[in-house]
Amino acid sequence: MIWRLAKLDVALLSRSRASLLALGLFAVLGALAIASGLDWRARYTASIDADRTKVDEAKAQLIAVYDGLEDGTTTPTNRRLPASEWPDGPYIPDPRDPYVEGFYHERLAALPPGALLHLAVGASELSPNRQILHTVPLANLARPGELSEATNPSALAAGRLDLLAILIYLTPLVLIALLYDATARERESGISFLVMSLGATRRSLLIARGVVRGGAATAVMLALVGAGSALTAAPVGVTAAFALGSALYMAFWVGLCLAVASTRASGVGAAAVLAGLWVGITLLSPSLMERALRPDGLLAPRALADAEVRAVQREWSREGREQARVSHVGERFWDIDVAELPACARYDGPLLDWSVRWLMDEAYVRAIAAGQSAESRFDAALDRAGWISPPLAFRRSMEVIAESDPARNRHFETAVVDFHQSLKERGVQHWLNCDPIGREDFERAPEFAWREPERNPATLASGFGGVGVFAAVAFVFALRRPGGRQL
Amino acid sequence: MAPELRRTLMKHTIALEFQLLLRDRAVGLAVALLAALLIIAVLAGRNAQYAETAALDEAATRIQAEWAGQPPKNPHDAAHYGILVYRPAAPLQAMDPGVLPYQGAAVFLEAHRRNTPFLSPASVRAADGRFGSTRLSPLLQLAGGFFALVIGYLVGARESRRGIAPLLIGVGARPANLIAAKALMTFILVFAAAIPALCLAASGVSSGDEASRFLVLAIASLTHLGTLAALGVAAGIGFGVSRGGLAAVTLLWALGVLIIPRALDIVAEQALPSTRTALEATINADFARGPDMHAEGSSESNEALKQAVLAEYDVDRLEDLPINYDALLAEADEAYRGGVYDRRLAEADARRRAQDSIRSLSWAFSPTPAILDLSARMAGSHADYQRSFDDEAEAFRRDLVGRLNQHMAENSRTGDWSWTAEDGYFSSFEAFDPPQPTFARDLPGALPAVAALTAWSFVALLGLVFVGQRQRFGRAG
Repeated sequence: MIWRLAKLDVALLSRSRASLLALGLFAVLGALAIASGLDWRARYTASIDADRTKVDEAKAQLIAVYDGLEDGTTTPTNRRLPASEWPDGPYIPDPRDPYVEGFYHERLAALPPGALLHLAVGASELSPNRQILHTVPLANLARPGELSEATNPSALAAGRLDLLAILIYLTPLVLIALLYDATARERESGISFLVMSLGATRRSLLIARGVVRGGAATAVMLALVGAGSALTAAPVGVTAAFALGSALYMAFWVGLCLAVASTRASGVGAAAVLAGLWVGITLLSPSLMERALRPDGLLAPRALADAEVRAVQREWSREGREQARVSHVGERFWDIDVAELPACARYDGPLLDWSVRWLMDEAYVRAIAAGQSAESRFDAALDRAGWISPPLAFRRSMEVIAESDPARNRHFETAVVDFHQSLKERGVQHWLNCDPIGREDFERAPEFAWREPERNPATLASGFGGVGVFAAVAFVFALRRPGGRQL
Repeated sequence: MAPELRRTLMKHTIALEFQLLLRDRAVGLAVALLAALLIIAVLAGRNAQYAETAALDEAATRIQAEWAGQPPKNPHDAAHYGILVYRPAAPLQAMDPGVLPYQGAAVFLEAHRRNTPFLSPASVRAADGRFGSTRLSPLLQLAGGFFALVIGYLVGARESRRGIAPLLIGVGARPANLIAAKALMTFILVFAAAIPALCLAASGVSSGDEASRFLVLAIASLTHLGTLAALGVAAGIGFGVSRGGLAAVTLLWALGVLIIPRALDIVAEQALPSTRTALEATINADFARGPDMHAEGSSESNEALKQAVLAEYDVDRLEDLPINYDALLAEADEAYRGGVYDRRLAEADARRRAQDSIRSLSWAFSPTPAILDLSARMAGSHADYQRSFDDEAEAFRRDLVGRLNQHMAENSRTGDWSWTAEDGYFSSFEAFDPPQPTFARDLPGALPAVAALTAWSFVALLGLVFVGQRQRFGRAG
């Protein structure tokens, strides 16, 4: 019977201009959203490429100094001489000097676009996606919470219309338009007894409608996700996970529409209830849940980071105590006794500079880590309780799959901090060993290597589990048997 | 019909509608829920705003203390050391944070560079949902607006759906009276949900300027709700017999409020592309043509300035100048770069405004995008406020760096980088305290949205008149 009803519904659907219009709207807006996502992906990548060019040019200039040194045409400026004794003409940095190299040898740390960034822009607009690094204090380089690219403020606040937004907000409306009268249509047209005489029951009709209409919308979704992924040759597994999550979310809404339809409400009544549910579930529940779980003062550690750094700097600069502090830093961080350093390594300027930078960076990293820790706890709270809001759980899990989630941004921030630390350590080791940086060493200096973090299973479980549970409950409610077989 | 009889009929019709509404428990529950939600939004908004403002205020106080307490150093070194300034809260930010959570709340001010704001509050919120908000005004316009539309539709379509419209006409009810009564009752319902929260919000208003903003915002919000309620009533009467009418109205509302503005954002982004990468490249190209304090080697601009200064003081060598030439070069560098920033950022801002104009085309499809724009402007949390914070910070930077360079020029000699300013010099600088935006300044920017909202309320009124005149109500069912 279900099969026959399904065939009948396919015929009805294909003749319903309103239904076809709703599906067409979904397809067209979905395509527009993918185009917008691809444009963002291109801008995201272009911003990284522009900085890479800048860094490569700076590196080429230092290599040119090595070239000049080899053929005797260049004499770099000797920083160990007082500035008044420097020769006339431009300052030529000496890349063999670890202190100078650390200052002039820039490295790019870039967060590559996520596998499906163009389908779910996520947090990628709100945090830096790249950082040019050298060995000055991190507080002078890092700009947490700076936009990764210029975006119109009103558009940014409104949120980008990516495919994920279409799936979260528009798809339920399309499903409501297709299914709000899943049983009311026959009742209100006065043909319910005719349909029942053919052997149809409310349950079979609901299943047939759910399969046909939900299936049609899901087919459009799969086509959009497939096309979007194919355009950037995204991994099949990631695409499949994105499609599966989206299908689950759509199943939740199909279940909800069928559940309301199963109450035998009138067409208008069902539409009113579903419209209210749509506003409550998609617009209100994510914001309310997020606000309820978000601790106050989440911004405070990052806001205070620069003040912490400056306090260290001020304390350091107290007259007459610098040498004691250099010794302290040497013992604590470099495991050396500064007094026993060879004369070539005891040149005051760099040693003083590096010592204060170590302490400034320590304060800065501590503040940023405190911020990250608070944000991670907030994430964990959302993993535990966020599933109560299906759109929230769905969005977070899809962003994890698409690799555009805020946790990935934090991971990048940590990777930047670690890489910066490694640059400093490399410079200091060369310096303390009185070991100039040779050309080969310079050219083989390690570059930033991004290691994709594992996707957070708790977020995925919250998304898939939460939406799945709600979908199952909605279907069970829809297909229950109270009220007998009547439509 | 005699005027007396007309009035009596009207009273009876209103009384009938009122009784019907009183008996509808679902509607009463929905009103109570919305009212409670809006009240919670007022309280939660205040709380969230307080927490955020407290963090930024504390940071500002501590940074200022660090600036004032820095040890004696060369003023130009101090200019490189720089200072951070933090964005003060906008007048009604607790009610509508507008674009501000997504824009940097701090700027690092230093010599030679105009840095972009960083530390956007939204960047630390893992689950920030930009399509919804828990603050009063967006919630009122979105959830309240939708509520007004749907309730209006259901009230408008009631008789058509039940098939009792001819009966009512038969007992002498006039369609115009019924339509007016339905619209009036819907307004009352919607206002009953909104007014308690608005009253509570009004209690937090602390100045005349804020009161003016709040008054405009409250009147505009109620107009918006009334407009949607009237549109809903007209749609309910017009399409009440159609089974898909409400679904279509809901879909149209969602398209007008959520989809079309964002689709227009995409159009604006494509039509008027603006990237930071391109902007930086343009600015750097301009910088290369001007004086550069830290240029490696001489440049035409630096040489021209040097010759001009030597000529002014009638000396042949920099060492013979009675002032510090390095500081003059620093100031010339600042002045030139400041001009470049002004020009290029003004161009970028003009582009942003043009993009906003494209976005405002969405006002033709729904009154809600217009009220959201007006709300952000009245709250002082519009993009213009962010731009003004950025400009004020830049003015503060130029004044600060200018004073530092001037002090160095007048008190030291060229090449003497070891000279340091006297004790306590840095504490003579006032803290960053930009003027708050005024209602009078922000009002003109809100007028297009006011005009759009007014136009929509006329459209809604015309819709009611139209369905009344066509007597669709009477024929329905």
